Amino acid sequence: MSELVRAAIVGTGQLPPSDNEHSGTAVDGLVAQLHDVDRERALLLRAGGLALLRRSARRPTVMQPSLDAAGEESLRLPSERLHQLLTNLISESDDELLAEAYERMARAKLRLPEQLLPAALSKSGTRQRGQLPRVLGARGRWLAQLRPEWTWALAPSDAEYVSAQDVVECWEDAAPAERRTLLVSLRRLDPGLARKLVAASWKNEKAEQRLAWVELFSTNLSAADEPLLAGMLSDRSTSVRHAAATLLWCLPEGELALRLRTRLDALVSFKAPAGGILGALKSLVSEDPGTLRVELPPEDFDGTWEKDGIVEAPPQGVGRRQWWLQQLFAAVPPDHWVTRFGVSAEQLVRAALAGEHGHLVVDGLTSAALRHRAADWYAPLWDARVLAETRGAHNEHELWTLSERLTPELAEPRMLALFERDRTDLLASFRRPWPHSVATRFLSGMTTHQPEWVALLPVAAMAIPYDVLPTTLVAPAVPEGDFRAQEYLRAFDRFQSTASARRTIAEEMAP
Amino acid sequence: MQFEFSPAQIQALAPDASSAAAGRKLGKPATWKSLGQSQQALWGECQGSALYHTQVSLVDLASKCSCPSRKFPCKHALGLLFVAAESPRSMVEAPEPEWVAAWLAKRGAAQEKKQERSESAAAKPVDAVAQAKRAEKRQDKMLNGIEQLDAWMSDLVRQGVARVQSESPSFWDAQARRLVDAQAQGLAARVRQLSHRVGASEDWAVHLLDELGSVSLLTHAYRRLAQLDPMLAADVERLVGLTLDHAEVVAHGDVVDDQWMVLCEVVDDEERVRVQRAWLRGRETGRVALILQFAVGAVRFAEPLVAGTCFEAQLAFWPSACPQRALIVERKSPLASGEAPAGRSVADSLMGFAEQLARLPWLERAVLVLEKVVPAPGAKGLYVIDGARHALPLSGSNHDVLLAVSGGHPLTLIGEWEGHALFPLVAWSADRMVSLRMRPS
Repeated sequence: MSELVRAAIVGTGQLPPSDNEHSGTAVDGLVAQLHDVDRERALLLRAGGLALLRRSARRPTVMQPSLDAAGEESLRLPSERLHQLLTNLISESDDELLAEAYERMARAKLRLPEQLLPAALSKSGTRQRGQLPRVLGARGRWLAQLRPEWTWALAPSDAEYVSAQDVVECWEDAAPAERRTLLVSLRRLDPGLARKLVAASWKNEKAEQRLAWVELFSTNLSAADEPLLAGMLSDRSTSVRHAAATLLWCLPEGELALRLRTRLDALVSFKAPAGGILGALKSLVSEDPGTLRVELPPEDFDGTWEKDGIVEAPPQGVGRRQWWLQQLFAAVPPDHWVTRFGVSAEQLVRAALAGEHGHLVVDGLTSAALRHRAADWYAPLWDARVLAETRGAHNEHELWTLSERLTPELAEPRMLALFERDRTDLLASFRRPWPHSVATRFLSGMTTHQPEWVALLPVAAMAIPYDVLPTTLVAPAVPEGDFRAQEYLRAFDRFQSTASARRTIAEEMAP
Repeated sequence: MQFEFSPAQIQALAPDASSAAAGRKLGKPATWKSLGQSQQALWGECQGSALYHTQVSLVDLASKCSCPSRKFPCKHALGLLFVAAESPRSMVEAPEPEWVAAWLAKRGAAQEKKQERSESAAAKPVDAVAQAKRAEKRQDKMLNGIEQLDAWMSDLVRQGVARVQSESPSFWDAQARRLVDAQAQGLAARVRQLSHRVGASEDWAVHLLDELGSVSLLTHAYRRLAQLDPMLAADVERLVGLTLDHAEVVAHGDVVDDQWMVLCEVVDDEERVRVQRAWLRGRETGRVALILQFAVGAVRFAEPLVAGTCFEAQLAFWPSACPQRALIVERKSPLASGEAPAGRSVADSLMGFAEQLARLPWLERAVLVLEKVVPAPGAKGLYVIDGARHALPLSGSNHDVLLAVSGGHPLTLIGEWEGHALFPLVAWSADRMVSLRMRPS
């Protein structure tokens, strides 16, 4: 620091007079010619000269470019129109629409324009994050490596570890969360090796970690996992024991599954409508499905059942024995009944509904069908729960999963039926895009005020196929101060803007 | 007339991001009941809560709409511009409807009146004696203010500049107010800026001393106005606080006709007032002009100046040893889209800035157009480097868009230079312009 600057900062009042408070510029000479200036004034004028010198005589720093340039692009840039739409969607953080736009862009071999990359990489929406890496292009990947918070876009989302050997090498030093990720990869790559690692580290892990590990066994589950899972049935933690048991339910030839099946078989019997071919014909005509007789388990809870994954305490509003029965049904693969009684899933569900404890059985069968992926049962069970309107403590989440798993052919008539039954809320649970017939029916309905569709409109805006999305819809006329109607109108407007964005995206995909 | 704006340029006209998004949604012919265009204007009718009449002048993109929005331009005007940009065939050439013609006539009349006013002001006979008396009185006042400011600054140095860190805001404010009373607004603003430097960086005391030194040279110069070159004297008077009205600028400054391109623009929020600095460059003369505009709250700036656009106009520069600030006397053509401007190397740009400082030592900033530079991280954040490996540091916090647009490849970068770091505003890459500062919503 020069004496001039030091004097100014410390204060001339604190320092003895000095002859060295110079700026080293021409101002020094000019100031020396002035007669009427004191030490402070002279110092300030010299400082002014120094400041000017610093601003005007600046030399550029000499540097080497430190970044390698981004590589050639293999993807095209989108049209100006799509560029603008993407700008808006990114600034509005519309996760769902962006995910759809990125997905379609990736298929059309388009990439995001450069100036949108920083904002897109900074968004946290999980759906768009899944698709974004596909539209980053060389430029986006180049950019993502510059900031640690963007590198997520570079990692291939699933198989970061390509060989089982990689996993084993990382295992010893891995933190708990990391070990979970390692196990996910390893269950896919080499389930046997995964078993070995889990068995070796099992005793030293916390209950929370052990539970997470057990749940990972659902990937590539096989009979080979049975001994290890069976060992976990005596784990210290209830949740771990339960998780291990429910996995064993899915190994039909395993001891535990056999035990449960035997137990439930003793409580269930089926009587066909009448014997012989004539009876079978009659059952078709009269739609008499036969009789499914179900008995409740004994009053006293058998301690060994708990080990098999049956929970003793029922949820509120359900009887103890009813609850146990329902869980037994949930454990046994539903196709067992088809084999045992020689009748279709559809007939069995109808028989169950007609009998005592019908809704318990249907709920149990629903859990079982979903768990064991018994596709033949999805439609009959869905019908039983929605169309036959069985009462009971239904698990709504399972119903949504059923809807989602229905094939388009099975879904279409059922979705149409919802319009007649005041259950259009369930439309949201079906796979997208919706069938044309459903979309058309919905579009013609939404131009009148439907208070219960406020929550459904955003779903429909994304679910209706591109080619039936209307250019303009006339909003329903509603009375002024009607609050709910105004709310509907706002949802209606949002529907229109989402629809128009989706149409733009579709139109701009052409090469 | 060919409408030749890109949607990106229209987007840049929007007062905020939500208006831009709303405008974009209205940018489809189907949302308009009628659309039309003439040599001078675009218009359309849009059904909202009522039927809105929207019109945009093609001369300066000024707009008017019957909607109740207080944003300018409103979403309908933006929508209309988007339609014109993207679906030009839906804009039917037609005679202007009455409401459009009436608006254009009113605007024309206002323009003429403004011109007449400035002409009559210039032509008004002046009472020379009274004027000289007023000027003398004012100069006395200013000299008193300057005397007092010098004493205050000397005091700072005597006590030590480092000590001011413990002073409250009123310490600076009181001194600034004394200068306002002395009609030295320019100096008052500088004193207010001094307070922002305190503690702002590690070596703030050095920066503060720089500024105090610069102000000292200015007060010294003001005392010797008569000895200065008349143009530099005009600068010193302006920097201290003497203002010129538009007619005086036109009467005393350079008046230049050219096709002007808006290189870049930036808006600063200064306590309730928004200040826009737009940097223009003439195609024929190569002269650079700084247009300052002020607006309160959400009110629009009078002149729409969008980076990347060009127009023919007559500009008048404030009299100066290094003319920079200017005003638009008259626009002579509708807006058009510009091409990537020619730039210079880092060394040439710095030399150019030094030459300007030699003419006017108190020049605050200049616009730099740097050619073929690549951004690269260095010791103090991000730099841009030209082909000769000469680098300048960048100021501002987020340069992600610049990095993304460059991808490590050379581009043309336009920004403001105050002598220490470049504040990047606009990049041109492969003939496409990208604005580097997104306005917050």
